[in-house]
Amino acid sequence: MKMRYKRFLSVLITVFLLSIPALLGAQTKGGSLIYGEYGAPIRLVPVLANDSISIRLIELIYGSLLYYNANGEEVGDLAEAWEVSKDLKTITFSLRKDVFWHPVPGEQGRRPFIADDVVKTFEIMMHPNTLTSLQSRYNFISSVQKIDDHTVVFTLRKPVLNVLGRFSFKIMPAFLLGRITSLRGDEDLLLYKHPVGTGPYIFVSQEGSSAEVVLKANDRYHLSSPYIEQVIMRPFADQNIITQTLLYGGIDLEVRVPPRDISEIQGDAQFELAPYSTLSYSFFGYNLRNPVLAIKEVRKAISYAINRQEMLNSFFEGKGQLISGPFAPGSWAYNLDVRSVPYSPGEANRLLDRAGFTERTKDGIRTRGSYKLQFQMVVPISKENETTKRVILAFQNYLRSVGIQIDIKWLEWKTWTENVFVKNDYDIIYADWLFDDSFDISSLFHSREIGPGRNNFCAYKNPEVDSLLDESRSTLDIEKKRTIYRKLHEILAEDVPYTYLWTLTNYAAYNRKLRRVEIHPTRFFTYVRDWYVLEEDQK
Amino acid sequence: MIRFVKVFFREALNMLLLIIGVTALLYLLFNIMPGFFPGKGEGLFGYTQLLRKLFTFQFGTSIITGRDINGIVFPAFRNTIVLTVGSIFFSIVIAVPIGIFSAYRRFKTYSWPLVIFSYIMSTIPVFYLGYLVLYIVSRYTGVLPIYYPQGSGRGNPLLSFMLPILVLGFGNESISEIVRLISTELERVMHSDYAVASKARGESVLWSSVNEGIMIPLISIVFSKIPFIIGGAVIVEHVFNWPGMGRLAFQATLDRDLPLLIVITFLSVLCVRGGMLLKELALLYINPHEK
Amino acid sequence: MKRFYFEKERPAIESFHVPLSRRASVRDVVSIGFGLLVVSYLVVFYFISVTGTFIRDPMQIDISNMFLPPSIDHLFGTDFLGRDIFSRVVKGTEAFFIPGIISISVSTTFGLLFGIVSGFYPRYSSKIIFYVLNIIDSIPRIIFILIIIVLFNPSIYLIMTFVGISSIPKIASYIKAKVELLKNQRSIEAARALGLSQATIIFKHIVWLSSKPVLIIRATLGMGESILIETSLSYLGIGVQEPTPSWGNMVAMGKDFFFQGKIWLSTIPALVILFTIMGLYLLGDGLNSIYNEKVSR
Repeated sequence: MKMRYKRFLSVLITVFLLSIPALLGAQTKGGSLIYGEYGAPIRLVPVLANDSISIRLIELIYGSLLYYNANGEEVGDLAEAWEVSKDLKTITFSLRKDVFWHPVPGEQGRRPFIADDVVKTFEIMMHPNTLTSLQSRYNFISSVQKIDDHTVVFTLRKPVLNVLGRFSFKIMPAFLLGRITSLRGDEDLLLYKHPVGTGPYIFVSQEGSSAEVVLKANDRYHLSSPYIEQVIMRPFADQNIITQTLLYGGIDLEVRVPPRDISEIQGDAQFELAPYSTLSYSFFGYNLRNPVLAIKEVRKAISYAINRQEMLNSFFEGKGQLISGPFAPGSWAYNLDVRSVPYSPGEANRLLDRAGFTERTKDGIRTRGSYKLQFQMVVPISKENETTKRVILAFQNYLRSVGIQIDIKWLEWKTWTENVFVKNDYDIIYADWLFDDSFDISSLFHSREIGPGRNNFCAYKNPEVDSLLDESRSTLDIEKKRTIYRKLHEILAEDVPYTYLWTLTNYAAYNRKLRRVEIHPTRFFTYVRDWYVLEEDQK
Repeated sequence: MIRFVKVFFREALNMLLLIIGVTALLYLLFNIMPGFFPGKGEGLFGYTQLLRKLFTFQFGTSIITGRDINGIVFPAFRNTIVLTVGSIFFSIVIAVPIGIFSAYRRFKTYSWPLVIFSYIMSTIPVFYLGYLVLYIVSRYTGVLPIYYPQGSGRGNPLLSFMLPILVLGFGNESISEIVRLISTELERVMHSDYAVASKARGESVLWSSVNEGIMIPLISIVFSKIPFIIGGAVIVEHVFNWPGMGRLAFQATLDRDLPLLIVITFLSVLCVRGGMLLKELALLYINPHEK
Repeated sequence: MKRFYFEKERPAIESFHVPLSRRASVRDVVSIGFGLLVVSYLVVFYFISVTGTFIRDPMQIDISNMFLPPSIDHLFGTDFLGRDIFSRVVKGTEAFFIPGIISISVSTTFGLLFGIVSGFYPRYSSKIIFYVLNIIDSIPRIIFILIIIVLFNPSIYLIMTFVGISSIPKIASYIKAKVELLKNQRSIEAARALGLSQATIIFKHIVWLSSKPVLIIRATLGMGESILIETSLSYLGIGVQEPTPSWGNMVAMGKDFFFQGKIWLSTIPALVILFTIMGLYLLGDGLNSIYNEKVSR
């Protein structure tokens, strides 16, 4: 008797346990996710894409050899196993055999994913003619070789710390690239109009580039299938309309909520605000070729003259953190001992006096002999952005009160890039950098990165920094690297090639009908497979 | 009948010549500009290539952005036409009654508010009107009347369709012109001897001779407003997220995508000139006696 | 000109013969009065902003006082940087004044020029001139501007020049019609008989006497249109840039705070625009009806 009861009880318990998920609203398949973006994707092609809208879509459509899960562990996507050689200079990837490319329009069936795809993607990426800045990120790899259809070997020039993390670049289908060796964006490729990848979502259509991108779940996905059946990206031409559309049910997710809309969404119980920090920061950059800006006291004075906290509070609702150096806070590279420059117009004035700028013009601008504290600031007009305007105008205002005049010049994006990176025709810029987790700042501050098209646009030259940067790139000891970075933080804070402003906390907002939403700081949709919509909310 | 054909051909030829002129101008500018447009055609050969591409409606791929122009432009074109034509209807529907009403009343004071109202609507900046409409409608009906894609099951299709048309109908400045036109014309005609005589006889003055008086200038105005309406559509499309040519044109401007802009211009000019053609035909139809 | 077969032929009344008081109706007086009111405040504002005699500095940023609603202190409230909106509205007249004048002058001068030339030589030059003008006329104005932007990266002054260019065709065709009409009128013949030179005839009779009303209307309309165009461009982000205030960019920047209830940032400049343009239009309308010209397009 007792035995039977026991068994019965255990069955009951099991049934009960199994049905808890259903009772709690289990992950059910189906439903659709419509999300809004401000602007339209520029290029839905890996390697070439460098705008965040395209990158987010590519995250849905394309796959990579491996990626990082929410716990920070390396997980295989297209690779099922990998092996790093003892000398750390060879990495062998065993590719999964159950991966298929998305269906190609006009073709029946689906092609298998093979090693050629990896090789071809890598070769195109590294080709000097390809319009991307990725080459410098991957030039530690000397060659890639296909061993067989499902094995690829990468040979490195020298060992690199956390090397596996670098293999998260997206893979393109070799069979759609034909004999192409480099990509510049103007080729007549099917891939440009109809992306074909190995990711969790398949590209269905994009009716004209100002209409939606429609994706559907990949039914033959090699990892766990996504629950949400359909994903649609709606481009918007007006940023204010996005939040309103979210609030009125027209979209389910807003990728990046402008600070001014945050309180409106917070007040509405139907929506959830999810903060995510990207590894980025904003700054004012100086052109050290200008003899006046080359004077350190001038740059320091500018840093003292502006009230960063006030700007952060007033323009961004305080959603962010001030920074003291060229790293994002919360990253392993940040040196918490270095103090931020406080707001002190008095100190700014003192520094400027000390630098010899004691006379003033009629308008109150400081001069020293023939040098005038008057600088030109160039700003890109890329999509209407009220916070940028406010920051810049406030900046101009703060500086005027210490006797520095800023003339603002608004330029179209391409012209701006040309002026800053190629012609170096500017004095100050306001911009932000977006990093990956290696935080390699050598392209920004190393003296050999000065030149047209390179990232050290401020022409900063410091031999100590150069050697520290070189050391940091070659060391394999993470503790050592951290120490070096801390030192760099100290020096670069003292030398002020940039005035470091803040790292903003981004907020995504979504309708609560979306469950289990987790957002990747840079790629956004990495964990989208786990998101789902309750049955009753699926319309 | 023969006159129809004659006029049609005359106008069509006109249109063709003008379009060629426009494309020549654009092509000239395209090539003159220094440096950064890759893929310029060479001289005359390039131009004939361009013409062939445009006239066969095979626009190819944009050199600058790699996008497929055909795939993008036609849906957008269709959407903008819907918006444009709809707004013209709307303008007429609103403006004509107001004009008639204001002319009919001998005492202008009655009609002034309406006329003022129509003036106000025509001079508000278009996007502000759009925002206002969005704000009011969304707060009062719980629906945001912007464009929703077919079949997504969201939003209210009727509202989303009507409101942008309404806003564009107001924002294209036709209403005040039409009102002004109709009220002055109608007044004049009503005071003419013929009308007075008619009235004495007890006939309704409104339809017979007035018809001619209104229709001709009305048609002229409406069709001549087409360029403006396409312009206004750019703004309305932004606010209501309407996937039309206006938004596309601005996107092209931001990307410095001159090939796409040329195609859009070509299509707009086609519309404008086509409109003129239709206008001539319509006028001919209405008033076959008049030269 | 007879429009309908039942009309009597009416002579075109030379405007200076009939005294104004006899022909102006109440409506006209109100229109013109209102219009002049608008013009006068425009002039006052422009004067204030050019001489810089503001009570509150329109450029003065005061972050601690952002988004204050209208009050005695700040008649129109403060904007997203704490600047006084009223002063910015006043200073905003500067932004469209000169570009507007540029636009009007370009369209009127060239319109007159082309109109007169093609009126006097209808067969050859007019065909060519009008071919070119019709090309310009066929392109919707904003698209025209967008192309110019892509090609030239222009300043607002250049943009307004092109706006003026886009208005030339209409004026030219009107002038041409006028010229053709008047060319053969008796008064012209008489003048010619008296030995007046061709130039005098052109300027005095055609331009000044007959076309003046329409030109004035064109001027008022043109100013109004310039304001609206600049507003649309500012909405798109390519009009007059900060920190220079223009009514257009004030409405445009204000829109970002509209849905949060801070509607005065956008609404007040929009109302100012509305008021001003209405005033200009009414002025043009009133003048038009006084001079008793039929507005034919």
